[in-house]
Amino acid sequence: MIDFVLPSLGADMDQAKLNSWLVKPGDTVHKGQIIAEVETDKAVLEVECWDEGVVEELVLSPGPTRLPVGTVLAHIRLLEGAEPPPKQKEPEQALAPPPIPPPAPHAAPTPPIRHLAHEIGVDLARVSGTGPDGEITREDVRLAATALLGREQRVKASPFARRLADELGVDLADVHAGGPEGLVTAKDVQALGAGRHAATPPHTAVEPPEPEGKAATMRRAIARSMAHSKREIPHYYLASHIDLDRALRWLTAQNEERPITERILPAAMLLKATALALRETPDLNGHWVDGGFTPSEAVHLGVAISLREGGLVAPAIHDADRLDLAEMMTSLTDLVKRARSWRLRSSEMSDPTITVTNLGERGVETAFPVIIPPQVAIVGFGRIVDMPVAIEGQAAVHPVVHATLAGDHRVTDGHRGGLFLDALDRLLQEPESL
Amino acid sequence: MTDVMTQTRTITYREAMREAMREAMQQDDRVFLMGEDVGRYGGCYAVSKGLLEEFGPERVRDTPLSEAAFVGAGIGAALGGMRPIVEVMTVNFSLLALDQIVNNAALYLHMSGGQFNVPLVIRMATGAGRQVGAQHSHSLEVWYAHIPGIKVVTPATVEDARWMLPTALSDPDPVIIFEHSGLYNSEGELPEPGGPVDIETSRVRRHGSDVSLVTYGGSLPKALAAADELAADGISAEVLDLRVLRPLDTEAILTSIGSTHRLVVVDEGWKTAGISAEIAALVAERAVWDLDAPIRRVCTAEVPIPYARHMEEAALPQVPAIVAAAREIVG
Amino acid sequence: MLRIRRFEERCAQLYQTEKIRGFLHLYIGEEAVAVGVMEALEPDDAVVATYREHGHALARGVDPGKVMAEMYGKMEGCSRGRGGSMHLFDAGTRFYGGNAIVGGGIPLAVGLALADRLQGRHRVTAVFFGEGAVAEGEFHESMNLAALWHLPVLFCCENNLYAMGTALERSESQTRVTLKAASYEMPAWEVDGMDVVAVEEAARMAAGSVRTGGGPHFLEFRTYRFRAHSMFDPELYRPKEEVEEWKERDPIDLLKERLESEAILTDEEWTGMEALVADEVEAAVAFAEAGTWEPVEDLTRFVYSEVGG
Repeated sequence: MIDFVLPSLGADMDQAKLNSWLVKPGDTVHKGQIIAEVETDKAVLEVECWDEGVVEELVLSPGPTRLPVGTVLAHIRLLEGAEPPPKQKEPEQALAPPPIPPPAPHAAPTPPIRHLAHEIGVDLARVSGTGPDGEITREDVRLAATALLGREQRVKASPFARRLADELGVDLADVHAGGPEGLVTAKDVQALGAGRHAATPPHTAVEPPEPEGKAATMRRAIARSMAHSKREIPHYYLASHIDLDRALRWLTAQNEERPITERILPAAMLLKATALALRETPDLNGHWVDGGFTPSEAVHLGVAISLREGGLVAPAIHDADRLDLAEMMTSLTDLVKRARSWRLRSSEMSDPTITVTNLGERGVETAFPVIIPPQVAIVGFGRIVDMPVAIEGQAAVHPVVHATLAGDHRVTDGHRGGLFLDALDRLLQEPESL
Repeated sequence: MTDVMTQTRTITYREAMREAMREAMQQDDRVFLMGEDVGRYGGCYAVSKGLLEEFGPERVRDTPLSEAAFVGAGIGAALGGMRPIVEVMTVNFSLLALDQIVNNAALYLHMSGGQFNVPLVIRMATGAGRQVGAQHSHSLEVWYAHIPGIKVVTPATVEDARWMLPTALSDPDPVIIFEHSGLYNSEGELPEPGGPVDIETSRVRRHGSDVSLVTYGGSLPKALAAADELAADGISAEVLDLRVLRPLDTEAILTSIGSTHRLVVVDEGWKTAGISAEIAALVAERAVWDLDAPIRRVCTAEVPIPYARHMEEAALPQVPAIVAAAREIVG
Repeated sequence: MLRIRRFEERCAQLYQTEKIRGFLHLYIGEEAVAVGVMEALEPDDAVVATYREHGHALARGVDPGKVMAEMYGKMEGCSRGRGGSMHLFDAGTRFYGGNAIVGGGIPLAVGLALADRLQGRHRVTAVFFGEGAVAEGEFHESMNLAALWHLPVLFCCENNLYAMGTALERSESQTRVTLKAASYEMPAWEVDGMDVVAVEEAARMAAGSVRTGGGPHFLEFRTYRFRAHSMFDPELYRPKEEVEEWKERDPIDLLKERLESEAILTDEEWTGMEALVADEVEAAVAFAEAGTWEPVEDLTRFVYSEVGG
């Protein structure tokens, strides 16, 4: 027994009405015989049978109902010896369009929602709800508030100007519009932002390169982070000179016994000393999270590395306080190489507990760096320069490095910071202990 | 290549294209030229002058006025193993062959599931400026640039006129070369020895820092002239010659905007739904945070090209309008 | 012819169960033309056809499984599922489509013939089109160009009297198609398109002349399609009696009767042929059913060639 179904008779045919049967139960039918007439919007069409058999039952009678393609119209018993059509996958059932559901009644806003809306000044009558039954959610209310805020406070600034304002930490509302039609342009922002720009390490994520190019992505991230840091973190700054005469003599002697490829640079010493000094002032080593300081057991030293395309990354050397100088050197070299070829690991990016910057490369003597959130301090080293010093009343010229500390005033104060710099100095006078 | 100073030779755009065709036909028997008046007449714009005498009537074929048939025959000949150059006298007459180009040349590779590629080159003159009336003055490059399956190039310099053709001929897919009729007489310096150039990238013809003038084809000289004028005023304009409209060198455009932060597109097509619209959309999609000013497009006015000289000039994009647009957004 | 007939019948059924989608134009009734002409062509010749080309593809030797799979839209189809019923292509048999624009393939055929001439090859390009194409500009331009340049094209006009729903006498001031061809200084013959032997004889003579430098030739085959223009066509434009009259000259029946009357064909042989063809058709369907769908990730392939130029 096979089903005789309403066939598809055209590319745009989905339904048809059954107009008439040309056979009745008990009639023999042959392949190619027209056994029914159907009607679409366009025309009346004849439907043929593809099998040899006898009509068993006419399932549907002619009528005005629109039937979807695939509806069973009749049953045909195949003649003995006649083969049933080869087994095919279930023909796709053309579904009748679902009945249109009655419109859902709007759920009234709940009291907490009404309260929130009142607090932030949103008119609930203008908010469309995205919750079940059209209920207004907290998110709906907040979005409505943002849109409102945006419209009221929108400054007419070019996209580039907006980006620059972000990067330089400039508030667009402060900028005088110098462009056509009252537009704030990049030049206007730069005029205001000049001088506020410091070369500081960013907090960036190491993503695979985006279509705009890694450098552009990096700059955007730097901009966001710097702006955030300056807005949120109250910085205090301390500076001191550290006499490196002993340390560098010791290092030279050490290096004479090492092959060239294993020589240790002063930078490694500075990093190690920093890491050890932090053990004495642990409240400079950790993160500001959820409104409070979380100290870190481990010292993961973020090292600011400049990239050739412009921009900086500051990935971590893990457990810097436990590495000996040779290990520190190796880690540093490896880190720089991988940073410049974009092969840093995500843990290196997310783990620094403090950052050290400007290790004299730039020729800058003193650096006043910006803390990278969520860290709470940042150490800067300038170039090592020869300076006159007084040793037991006698003048001498020694190599000196200018070290700075920026601290988050919410966590530490000048006193604590000073202790750190003292410790740093002390450690660098005993290089063999590094 | 030895390290000697590059020699150059002065040549016209027309001569450069002629040389390119001659060399192609000399080097590859599969290459032949077919089109209206390319043989006895020497080419409507005299580009193919002398080629019939050199290569004979089998390889330089004058066709009847049957654009659909001879462009279609070009497609068939390409399918059959030749490397035809079909010259359609102008883009205005190419409309008669649109079915063959859009429904056959562009689609055969795809419809056949990769079996049949069409290595055909079609050359067409395009553009306005000679008071030849509305029906002879179209710039419809954008219609062809719209179609996946073909490539569209717009040489504007003598170097590109000389060296884009061999690259196009060796491309396995259909390439349409648009030659602005106003450029045929233009002279330029051709570096020697030269070699085939790519048909995928744009070129910065003049570096600048204040505004990018992005253009192609017959509008390039106008953009360069505008840049000169702007320089006198202290505005540094960068001129980007697109060279290829499909595939568009998006990276070059975005890089230029990344550097100047302002965009003026110069396009002899009409503004509505033109190539300039595509470039503006591209920049808005991918470089909006680099834009320091609104985008400006200097295009032909939304009118059919008139005959009277002053009216035609008023309709087409001109240097003063380009300068004004740049000034307006540089501020 | 029988293979084509049964294949086409099966396609109709498969379309009605929605295995085949889009437009479907069946060749039932016209089989003698494709079969007769293909017999007269060499393997190295080229064929350009229309959207009613299943018969031409099968007669040319394109694998029925690949044809059926193409209509299913499967990747194993001759056009990778990209073309469907109207765009069958096969490089191996120099089958250049499957063209859905009426008259659109004719200039291509002129070009293929031009390439043969320029390369000194003695091949024929056969191009099939309906009598409706004779109204298109591209037809006339191509005829002129082929005759002017003396190109080896065999123009095969399948005159089935109706261009979709428009009868020839309602669209042509001059309905004798061969006269139009003759006006281009091209030899043109009318042939009984329901008689496969007549078709083959005419095609052989014409192709032979084309191949040996006789220039383009034109054959008009008087034929008829027994089914509608495509699947969704209520056939309001022609009377049922006319269809029945032409069915009495069914090309398959004509040949069968002739062979039987000359005692060349026996009943067993006939049954055997039917069985063989039925198996082939079912095998083709099975092949299509088992086929795979092209991965969507490949969507942007085959817009441009993948091998460097």
